[in-house]
Amino acid sequence: MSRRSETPSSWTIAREEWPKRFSVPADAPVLHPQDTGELGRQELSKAWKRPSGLGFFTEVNNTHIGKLYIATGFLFFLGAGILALLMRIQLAYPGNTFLDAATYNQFFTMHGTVMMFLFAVPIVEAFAVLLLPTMVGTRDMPFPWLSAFGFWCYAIGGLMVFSSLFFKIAPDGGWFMYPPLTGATYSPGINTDIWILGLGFVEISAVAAAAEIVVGILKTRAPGMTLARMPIFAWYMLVTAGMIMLGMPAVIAADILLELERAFGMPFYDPAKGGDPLLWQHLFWLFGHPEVYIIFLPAAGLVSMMLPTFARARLIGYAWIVASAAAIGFISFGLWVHHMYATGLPRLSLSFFAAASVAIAIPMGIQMFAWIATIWDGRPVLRVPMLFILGFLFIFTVGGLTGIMVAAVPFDWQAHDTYFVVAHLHYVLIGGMVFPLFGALYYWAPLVLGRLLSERAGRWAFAFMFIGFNAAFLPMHITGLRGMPRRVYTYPAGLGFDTLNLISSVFAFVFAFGILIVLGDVVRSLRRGRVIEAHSNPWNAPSLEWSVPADNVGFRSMPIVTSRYPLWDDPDIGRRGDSGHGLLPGAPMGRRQSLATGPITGEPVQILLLPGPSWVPLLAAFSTAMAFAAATFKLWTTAAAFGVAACVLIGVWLWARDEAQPRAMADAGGGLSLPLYRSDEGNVGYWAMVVTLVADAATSAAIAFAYLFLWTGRPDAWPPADAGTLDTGRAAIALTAAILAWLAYEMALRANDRNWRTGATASLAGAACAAMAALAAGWWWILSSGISPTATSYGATVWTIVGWTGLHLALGMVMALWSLARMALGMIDAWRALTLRITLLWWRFTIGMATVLIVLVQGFPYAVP
Amino acid sequence: MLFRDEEVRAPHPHQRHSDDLDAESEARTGRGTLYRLLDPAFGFGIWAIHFLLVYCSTAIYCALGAQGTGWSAFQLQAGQVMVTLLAAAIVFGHALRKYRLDEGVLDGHFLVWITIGHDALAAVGILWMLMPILLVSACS
Repeated sequence: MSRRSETPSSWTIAREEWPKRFSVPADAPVLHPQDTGELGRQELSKAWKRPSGLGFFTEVNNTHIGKLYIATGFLFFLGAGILALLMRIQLAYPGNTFLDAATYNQFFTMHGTVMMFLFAVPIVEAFAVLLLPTMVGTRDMPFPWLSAFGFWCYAIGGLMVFSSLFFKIAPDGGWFMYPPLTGATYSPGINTDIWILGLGFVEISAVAAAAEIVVGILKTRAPGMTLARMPIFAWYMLVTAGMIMLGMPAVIAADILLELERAFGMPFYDPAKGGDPLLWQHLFWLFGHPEVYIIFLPAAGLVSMMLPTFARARLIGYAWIVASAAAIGFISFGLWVHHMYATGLPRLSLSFFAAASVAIAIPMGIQMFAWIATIWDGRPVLRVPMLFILGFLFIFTVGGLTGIMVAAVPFDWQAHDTYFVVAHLHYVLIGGMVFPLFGALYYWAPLVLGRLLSERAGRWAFAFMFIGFNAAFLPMHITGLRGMPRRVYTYPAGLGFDTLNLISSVFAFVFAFGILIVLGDVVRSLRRGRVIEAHSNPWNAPSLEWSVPADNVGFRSMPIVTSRYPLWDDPDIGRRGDSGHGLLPGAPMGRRQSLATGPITGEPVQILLLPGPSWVPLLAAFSTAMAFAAATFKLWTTAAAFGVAACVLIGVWLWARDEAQPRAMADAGGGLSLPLYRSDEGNVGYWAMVVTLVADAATSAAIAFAYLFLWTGRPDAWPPADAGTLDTGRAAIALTAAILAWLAYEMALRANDRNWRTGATASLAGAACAAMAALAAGWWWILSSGISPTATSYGATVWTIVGWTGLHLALGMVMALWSLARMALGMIDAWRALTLRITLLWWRFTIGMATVLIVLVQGFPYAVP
Repeated sequence: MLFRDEEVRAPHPHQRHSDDLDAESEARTGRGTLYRLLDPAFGFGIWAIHFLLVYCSTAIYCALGAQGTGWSAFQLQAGQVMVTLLAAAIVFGHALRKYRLDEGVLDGHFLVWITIGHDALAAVGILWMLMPILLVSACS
């Protein structure tokens, strides 16, 4: 047996190294021996089998959910694409009457909304869900029910939003839905509410998927896969998921505020009452700019995965590319005002963003040069995926160049809201994301579908798409500079737009024909495409996913990874894993198992027991979707009923977590034994809570930003003279009660660590009572102040901040009662302490957030001289 | 099998070492996991704080005016220049310290270089802000 296949001795973790309360006694038996032969294989097939019939809807494995996710994403792509074609028909001739203005408004809004929210972000997350686990050498995502829940939320919510078109109540305020156009006065209908509630719901599912991607990349990799050996796509997805966690909250907060304004009259964006439409623009674009990089980076990751295969050379500058991806991820949060150059902000402020928008070209360029160097250094083969990659390089670069142009403030003042921007954004989005996506489709089809797509059809499709796209969108640069505004449903003749628009319209159909060829090819190949056997690695690709069949099980046993290009450096790795010489070659417990590993070193630390097929995720997603839908249509009783159902289902889901496991090691194969349970910081659930709290912090920051931003709008009248006053004493009482609740919770954990059950129970009960007192005190504090939530923007933001804090405290109280119940039932002790540790994290976050927010509204700007 | 036989050959042998920083496994240093995971993002954290300070100070100055804040335009500009230089110095110092401290460690190269690379990109982003600070007047 070669050196590579031996389990490193450093992985046999000395049990003495663990803190006593988490450790397994030295004399504990090693349970559940693994079988490396046929028995193990059968155990695995049985545990990972997909249920038949209606069970299709209960399967939660990433391969199954990933395929559904991608198919749904492409469906939305086609739907939004048809809207675009209809719009192009309308714009082909001046004065055309194919679509009226109201319909056109709905179409361009839905085209943008569906493309950005229901296609672009979900499909890159879908590729991650489908491919990332096998790329990083594991069997599934760390929280399979969460991926399933996220997918069904997206599918149901997205379908609801899209179907509004057929009832002519689709949102019609543009894909970024600026108030006051989308406020209650100018958009009295239900259209805007559909956008806010439908999309808000989809956004939350995106954040859940992102949290899972972060934990999956950091905590569940192949044994031996250090950070430096990760496939480059994993780095890109890590950065992207981090951006989603930090960026989506801004638009979620904006959506919440807009709905509060529309439904309850709380003025955030209404200038008459102290609001500011620019608040929406700031919050939206704080999300909106990172959003486009969220869309681009995974596509760049897919390109970076495919390129070494077709250049037949390793990626040049892997570390440079990682650093650039991270730089883009961070710097993209400093560009948002470049969408607001025409709003009258101070020139210096605009210049900062112009400078940053230009600076981001540096990491972008580094990536480009790394790719070009890889092609130069290699011996490229022009198969269809490579054609799409070359198309991407060309089109995206052109888009980037026009991006630098509009990054310059004076130029943007000329080009803002014209077709020049439409041209730019389509060059970067279609070039930067759609072309790599189609390349990825042709590349991974043999793996996922087991069939080859047609090389000839692919070339024709590429030709039509490339020529059609460029001929359709290049003229838009000129129409824009000649003065054609965006979002107009028609234009007068004789202004120089006529011929160019006709060309754009005709070639839009050429582009669409290319897509139709791909669609036809996929449908045909599913039945009659050349069959590709599993393990055959038809492209001679270097990455791990090509060494296993794309079924539920994936890795028969997890091989030890010693290189960044496992299939090139260690061609035997697939066979070794398949013959059971890796880790976890069987499923002796009859359960789905995977490995949890250290985040940096990739050494195995725990055997993860994953949940299998269930109706709970689908039903929970359905109930949540129906609750949001009913709320949109103001059917309050129905919404409440579905809301309760969703809470019950999620409660069932969570209650089943933190299962009892024996305090022993289990055989992991390869001579290694690992624990089945850890409740310390190594646990994946713990990490999930940490990552979720990061997103929560971002949402809280966005709400605090709203308060501070509206203050800068009228610093002399904040608070307005007759608005009412918050009492410091009452604020202190509420905050003190909250702090006492938190301290009681900390005591509960410590008491539990010492196995002092009475103390722990009493502390949890105390925490719950103190939390209730804090809620009551907070309610008294805000109610007795006399501040109205609807009279001024000051009141609206104060009520929102206090309500947000109260919501967190209420959830903390629920968690205290939950832990109390589990403790009473004997489900928590010093060993099985995960529930307590995770809920304590919530309390630590909440108390920090509550302190900051309460001090903010109570003290600022009163306390400032 | 989708490439013709003569197309399929092992990648160039000379390519094996240049960025083969993954040769050794990551070091077991004494520092915690969270530090080792987040330290590469230090430079960007400083960039973000710097950006916030500069942007917010401009926004507040232009909203409240010279009387409201008690600063003059020159004081604002000088303060922003100093904050910029300070931030760049912090990031540079962090990179230098990382290079010196970890240079001797054979393992764990990849994260060290990533950290220094991030610091470099963050420093460029920070210093680039001097362009608008020095060239553009505040509140027109």
